[in-house]
Amino acid sequence: MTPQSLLKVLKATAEQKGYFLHADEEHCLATAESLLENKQRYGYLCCPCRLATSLDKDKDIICPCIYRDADIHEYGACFCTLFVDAEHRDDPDFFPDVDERRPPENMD
Amino acid sequence: MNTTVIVVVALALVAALALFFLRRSKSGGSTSKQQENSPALTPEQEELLALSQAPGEDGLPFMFALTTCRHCKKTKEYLDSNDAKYHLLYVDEFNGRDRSDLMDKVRSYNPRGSFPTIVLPGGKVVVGFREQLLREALFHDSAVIAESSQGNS
Ligand code: SF4
Repeated sequence: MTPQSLLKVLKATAEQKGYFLHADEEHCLATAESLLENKQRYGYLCCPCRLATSLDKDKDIICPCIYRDADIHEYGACFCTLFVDAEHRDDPDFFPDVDERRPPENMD
Repeated sequence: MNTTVIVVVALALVAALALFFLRRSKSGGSTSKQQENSPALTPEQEELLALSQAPGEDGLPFMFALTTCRHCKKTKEYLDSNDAKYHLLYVDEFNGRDRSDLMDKVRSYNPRGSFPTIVLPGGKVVVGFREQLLREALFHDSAVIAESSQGNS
């Protein structure tokens, strides 16, 4: 799978929920590359902004992670700013500081 | 009656032993697999690992990062463009025990365990790509910014 084809899939599924890929294409491609690198290293699409532990423990951070809805709702973007809400879909400079929402105990 | 009790106890013992050995062989298997997958550390990684025990104490900021995260890349770009001297350790380049120990270390400074986590000399901690916070921290510590970069800007 190429970063481009992964983005295509992610874009289609995100749009069903009213979310969009970030307007900065370079950033999206780099994030998709990182996701694929994680797939290669760990066997699953672990969020590139978080440290992978094992499939067992990382079910919540397989992209799209379970924190995406809440983050987009609160900040307008997910933790890695790969996905944004409709309001920011055309803004290539929208990079809010999104605080980590994953409970620390989920990392153990 | 007595015989039944003995048989039950014996069966329980056999089951417990089987479970014990099964677990041991499983964990032994995963350890050796992990070791197979973990290439030896480079001298540079050994040094970073040692420095990470007391980040910031040698007078330089210490950044815990991931090779894949955007905030880490942006922070690195910012520090490099300001000629800052700092240590950079990519936690995802370590495996097994080193990796979990490093993660514990990160969480001792930043309970959320997010990246980048930058420990500054003096103990201040900056989490995420916070240009403003970094600027304040770095420009107040002249040892970190090379004088030439100030002359150039
Ligand atoms: S933060 Fe964004 S990129 Fe990371 S897993 Fe969640 S949805 Fe995917």
